[in-house]
Amino acid sequence: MSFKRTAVLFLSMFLILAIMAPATSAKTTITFMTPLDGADGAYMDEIIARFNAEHPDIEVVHLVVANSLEYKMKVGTGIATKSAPEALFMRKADTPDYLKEFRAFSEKELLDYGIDINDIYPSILEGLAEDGRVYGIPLDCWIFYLVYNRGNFSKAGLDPDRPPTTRKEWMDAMEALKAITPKGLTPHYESPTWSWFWLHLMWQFGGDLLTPDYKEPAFQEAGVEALKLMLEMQEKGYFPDAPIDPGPPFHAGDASVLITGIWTFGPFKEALGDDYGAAPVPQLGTHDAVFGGSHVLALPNVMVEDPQVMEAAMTWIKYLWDHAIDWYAAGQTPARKSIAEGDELKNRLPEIYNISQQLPHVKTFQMSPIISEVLDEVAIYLEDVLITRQLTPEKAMSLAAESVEEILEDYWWDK
Amino acid sequence: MLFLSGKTKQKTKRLFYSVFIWVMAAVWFAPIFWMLVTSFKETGVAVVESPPRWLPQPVTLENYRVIFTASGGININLAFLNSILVATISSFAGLLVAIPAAYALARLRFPGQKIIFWTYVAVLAFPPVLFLVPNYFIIFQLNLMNTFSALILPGLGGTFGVFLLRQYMLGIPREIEEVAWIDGCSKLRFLISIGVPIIKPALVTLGLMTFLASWNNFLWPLLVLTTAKKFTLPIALVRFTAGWGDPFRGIGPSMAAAFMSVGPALVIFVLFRRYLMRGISLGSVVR
Amino acid sequence: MSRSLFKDIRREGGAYLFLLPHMFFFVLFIAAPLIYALVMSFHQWRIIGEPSYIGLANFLRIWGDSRFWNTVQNTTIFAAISVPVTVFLGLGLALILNQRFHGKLWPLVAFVSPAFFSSIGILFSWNWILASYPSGLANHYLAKLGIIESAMSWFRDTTLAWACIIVITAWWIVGFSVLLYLGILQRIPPEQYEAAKLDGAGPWARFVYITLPWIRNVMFFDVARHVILAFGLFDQVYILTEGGPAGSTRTMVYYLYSVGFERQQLGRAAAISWYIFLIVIFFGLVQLALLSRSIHSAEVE
Repeated sequence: MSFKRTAVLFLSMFLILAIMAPATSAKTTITFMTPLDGADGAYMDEIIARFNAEHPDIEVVHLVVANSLEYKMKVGTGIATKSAPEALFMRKADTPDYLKEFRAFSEKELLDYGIDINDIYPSILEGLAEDGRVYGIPLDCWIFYLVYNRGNFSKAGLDPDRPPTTRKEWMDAMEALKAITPKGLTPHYESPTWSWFWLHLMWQFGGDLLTPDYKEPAFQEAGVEALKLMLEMQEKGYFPDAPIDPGPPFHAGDASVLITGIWTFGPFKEALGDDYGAAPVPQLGTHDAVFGGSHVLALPNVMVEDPQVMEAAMTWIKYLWDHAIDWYAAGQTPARKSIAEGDELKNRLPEIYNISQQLPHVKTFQMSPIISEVLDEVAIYLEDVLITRQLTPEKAMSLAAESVEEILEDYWWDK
Repeated sequence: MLFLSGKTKQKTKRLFYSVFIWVMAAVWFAPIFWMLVTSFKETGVAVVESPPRWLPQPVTLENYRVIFTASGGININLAFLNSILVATISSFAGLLVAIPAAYALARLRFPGQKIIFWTYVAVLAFPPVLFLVPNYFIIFQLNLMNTFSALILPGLGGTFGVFLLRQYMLGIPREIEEVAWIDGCSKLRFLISIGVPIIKPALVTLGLMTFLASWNNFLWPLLVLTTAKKFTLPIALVRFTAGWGDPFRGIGPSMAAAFMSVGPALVIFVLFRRYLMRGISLGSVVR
Repeated sequence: MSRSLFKDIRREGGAYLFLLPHMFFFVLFIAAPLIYALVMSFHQWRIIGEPSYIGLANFLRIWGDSRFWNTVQNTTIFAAISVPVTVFLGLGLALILNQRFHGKLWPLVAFVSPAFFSSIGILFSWNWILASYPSGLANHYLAKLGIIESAMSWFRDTTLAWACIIVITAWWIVGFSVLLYLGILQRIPPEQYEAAKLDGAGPWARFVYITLPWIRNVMFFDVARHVILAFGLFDQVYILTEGGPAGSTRTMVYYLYSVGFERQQLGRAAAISWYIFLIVIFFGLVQLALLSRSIHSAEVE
């Protein structure tokens, strides 16, 4: 292609672009950054579209960045140069590094906006408020739930309306389901490399990753119990012994059970139809606990210094708060007691209502910036037990604790 | 290398060879073809069908529709054009800047030539992510935040292209140069009228690589751009291509997005294939 | 031939003018950030807030971190295997495609186009192809052909995981090498080969004495490129194996991301980058030395 032709080509593209660029409007633009990919993002798109239609002077733009690292980099660099998104929907576990950069609200201020912070479950709010100042408002809780194939339950001779709730019931159900599971798969077909599952079990055995002051590992004992349970399930053929991809076999009806996040609610329900069963997680340990995470609404201080922008952002946040159930339909449980125990949820989203009854004993990641690195490090030792079979649970947890101590020492030495 | 006597023998050999290559190419290309096929399947169907099917049953355009109508205030078509603009300019500007530099490092003599060349090579050993944050603040200081210049200019300093072109230029036969210089031809004119045409395949390859690097770049535009109008294609598509890789969450749109992000590159490749497939024959070069 | 001094200076000056445009951007966007990074590596800096000087602490902590050295080992072994594999694969494919055959364009597209795709698309696709259940593409066909007896998890042990990464990486990036070599191979005059054949030279000799001298410069570039890509391995590990099983596929850049960027400790990230730089330079020189030695010895034979 000759130089002249290419020059003409991109000159014309430039002109097209210039013409296409919409004229500047008098709207206040609020960039709303979320980690919601796929169907979740589509749900949020709809809510945003409705808001934009009802509020002609505000435009909310939905920027999706699903990866935590990239999300945090955008927040960090944006705050440093005053070019961050105006409103954030941030995974709670990603917030510790930035909390103090967010606009702090007093309880009264929030009440003026119609937001009652005391309505939120304490364990979900934990770490987001300090000295009466709230830095982030949790909107939802992505909690673990038990999703199962009712058809398979019937086939295995189990009552589909009575999924397992205790360890014994769980093991019995697994044994029954094993008989109808195709060779090469297991009834509970989840990847042993998914460290959140171990974390969930560890919490059910009463442990936590770190001590409350975040300075020492605290998972050893409970971690061993969790590993022993997982090993037992592997030995009996209920649980895989290698890294696997869980979604499709469950989707296809070959696997029967998953203990996984509520965000899978929509896709699985659509896939399984009448065979879809959802329930609170069984208590497989010694303590009542269930894994949960949350999305937190936050406003970077430097981006809302302009009162007009602040108003616009709060209008959006209030809208989300008031229309939260629209969001929960995507596969989330409420962060608020009044909704979780309320009739509207019961009528609109009965399964989610059912699962929400676990919320009083949900546990979330501890609010230390080092938590994800700690869990990643522990995960290595988990795999040494569950996959490569190099270590016993006791040895693995002991080595993991040493390794975590090194990380903590590295983290704390200059604070 | 396989010349044989006998025209028919030659023809049959060529035929067998062609078949062999085509089969190899088909197997090699299978994963890409699988991507394409999947983009026309519904996710729910794609992940459970057993055995896996190479012809979608049913064929669906839903994945592409989902991508093109995704909203939230980010216009995919605009993002597409933005990407084309930025990538094209990056590509041309990159070549413009790298060609003379490569020539200087390949053929001209001046103090510091070796040092500069080896420095250029050495900096390639740094992980690219290192440059992200410092460049971010440099762009901020230069007041170029949220501009396309911020997307184009930093790439022009890259030494990869200079390195590549310099290696190709080392292969320009010295006789040609000597002749030109004796004839009084200036370096610049030599470069433009003779040097560049000789290394055309390298130019096309480099242009393509630069285009693609710019086209696929995600994190840098994400950090530097703040208004939706300016977003590039990867930013608009990331909600389909990111996530935790569990296929059942949306392999259909994911593969469709992957194809969308590759289209222009393939088009360019096909358009410029002549330069890739036929170099300049030197034979006896006399002016 | 007499040349005036003026002409000499014009000559020399000209060279710098040729370099100037690129050099300008190089200094601004490559050299300046590197100096910035060097300075930062002696500080603690978390983007928000001021950096604080901590001397050599970053470097010492990395030196003493066994996790880092594990990743160095993993990456080095990977590079030692994958660089020769991809270089020879690229050269081999280019040689094959340089022949005369029908429909030249489309096989070329087939071999080269994977390099056009961004990592996400490719890796998601492969992740799905290598799915662990029976209807995953790889499992399905390999079981059908009887090569494996039942569906397997492809990332179940270290060796297999690395093998997958090496194969996928080679498949993905070899495309540009093929283009690079073809660009040169096309220029070799066929008469040279004919003459050599008449002289009785076999294929290997023809390769060494005719092809090799032509491609040597580009090969240097190609090896350097592959060394850099190999030591920069990140995406494949992040997406396919998440560093597993049991952390055995973690690479240096993975460490950089998790201890530097995930923790938002940019000073540490800069220091890690310097370590990576030195390691890459060292091994890069080693591999290039090996390359020139083997080319040299092949020519001498």
